[in-house]
Amino acid sequence: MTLARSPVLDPLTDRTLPYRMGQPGGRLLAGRPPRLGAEPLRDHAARLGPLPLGDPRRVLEELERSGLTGRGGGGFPVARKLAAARAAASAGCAHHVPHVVVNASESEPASVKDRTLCTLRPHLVLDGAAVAAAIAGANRVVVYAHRGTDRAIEALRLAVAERRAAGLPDPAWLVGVGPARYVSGEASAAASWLEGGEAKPRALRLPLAVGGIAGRPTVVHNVETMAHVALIVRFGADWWRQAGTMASPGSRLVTVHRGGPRGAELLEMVAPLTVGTLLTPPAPEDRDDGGRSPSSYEPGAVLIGGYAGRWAAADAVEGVPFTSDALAAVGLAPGCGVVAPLPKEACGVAAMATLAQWLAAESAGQCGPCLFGLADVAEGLQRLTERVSSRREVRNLRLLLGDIRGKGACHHPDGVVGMVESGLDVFADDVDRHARRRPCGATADLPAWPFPAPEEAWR
Amino acid sequence: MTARLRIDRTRCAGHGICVLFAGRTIDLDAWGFPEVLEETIEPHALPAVRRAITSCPRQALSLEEPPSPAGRRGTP
Ligand SMILES: Cc1cc2nc3c(=O)[nH]c(=O)nc-3n(C[C@H](O)[C@H](O)[C@H](O)COP(=O)(O)O)c2cc1C
Ligand code: SF4
Ligand code: SF4
Repeated sequence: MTLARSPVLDPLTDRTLPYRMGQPGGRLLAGRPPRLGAEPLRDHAARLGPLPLGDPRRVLEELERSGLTGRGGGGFPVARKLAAARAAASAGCAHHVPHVVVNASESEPASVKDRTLCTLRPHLVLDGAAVAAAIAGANRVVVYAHRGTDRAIEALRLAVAERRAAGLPDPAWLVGVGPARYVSGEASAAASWLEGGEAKPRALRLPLAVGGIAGRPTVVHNVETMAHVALIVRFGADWWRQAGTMASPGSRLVTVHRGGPRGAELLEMVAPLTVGTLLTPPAPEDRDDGGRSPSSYEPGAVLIGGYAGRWAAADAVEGVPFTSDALAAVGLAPGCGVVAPLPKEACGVAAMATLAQWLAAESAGQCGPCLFGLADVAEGLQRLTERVSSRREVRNLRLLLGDIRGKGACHHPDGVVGMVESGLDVFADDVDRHARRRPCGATADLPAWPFPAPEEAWR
Repeated sequence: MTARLRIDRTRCAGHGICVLFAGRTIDLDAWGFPEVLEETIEPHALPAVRRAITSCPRQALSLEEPPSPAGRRGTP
């Protein structure tokens, strides 16, 4: 397996990262080399041709046939969401013009795929959004981003200006920048922000696609999802399904953390790769930095799907393809496509505690079990880390986790519960040693995962 | 006919008043927030549940009468 070598500018820091841009024939990230930055409209149109906006019903059928699922974490079938919005819009009165929201928040700190996609291929994202708008019957699209992803926001704004100047038959575009909070990327939080409220999740009576912003059908899709739509309408579902597997079709953007000071690498996975392959560092000569940066460590466990994903023992997932069906068979999910290994020599309890503490502080503080429960979980793990806990406390911690599940207005607490529950199993030995107040023998530090300080504002 | 008790957790402040009225249907969790014991409310429990709903100071409770084709929360 060969991987294309092309350095990418980290949209956050402007440093060059040893991103591997997927296998040859990458799709979303095909085209000009990443170091050249955003693909201008002219090049985009020359490379992919015009966007065929035919009969929306036909396009919807094609999307259905593609089997595309959302890439924002939930993995919901795209055609079903769009069909629900379309049906709700046509059932309502003329004032029920639907909303289409492109979710560019990428609130998951460990993921770089969305900001990189927006930075490098903004027109692919906007093309997909134009298609979604045509299907839903919306005449306006809001691209919702988070503060701090400046390069992505700038690329999107420039792309919008280019499209306006070119007079494309587009919906009206609006690029909105909301707070850089984890839960603000949740779909109902985005809807709340777009209504002028705080970017906090809401308790929904109806699905957003039926009654979202101001009661109107509201489609919220991740930027990667939109980019796939742009390719499906151009080249067809059959072509699109040649990537991936039958049960998990299409290519997928994956952010791999492999230690070393350079942080994350972004890959576009066209043929399915196993978690082990994803974690194998490229040969020194294939690295953009010529192999100068420390390449990797031997993983003992892997966090799959993001900070609120699930832990798995490295030897148990090494051979598992990173596809939704193969991961589901071992109780995992691709989530937003993050693969974050923990070195064998690092302490799993400390890793869980650090993650839980950050995630607990990111609660929107609206729902009791989320606000108080996650804080208790973080504290329990902290006590365990400091070896002032006990096996009884660990048993109680498990009970607390069961009490929290399903008790939030959004799925934030469920994600944290899944991360900790899986961690308690995967790191059972570390947990037991800590609970007996014995040293766990860890010699390595935790990886330098990003933990951005929470923003105060919710607007 | 079966109904479901819905709790808007962004509203609920954990006063626990609901439990005083509908203790058979609602319990309090480790943090003093309500937990629905029975997924569907049997007809004989409905009057108590209705009293709990009207007594909740935050109007966090509601009855979800079927059919609700839309699914409960989150997606799509
Ligand atoms: C706590 C939380 C945070 C989320 N953050 C994001 C995010 O930053 N970006 C995103 O696209 N989806 C995020 N989601 C998922 C969205 O709610 C929603 O499912 C998604 O944007 C839908 O797009 P898709 O169908 O294209 O995946 C989050 C969900 C939760 C529960
Ligand atoms: S579950 Fe937590 S994050 Fe979600 S709405 Fe409630 S308080 Fe906010
Ligand atoms: S009475 Fe209302 S606010 Fe109080 S615990 Fe019950 S549902 Fe929550």
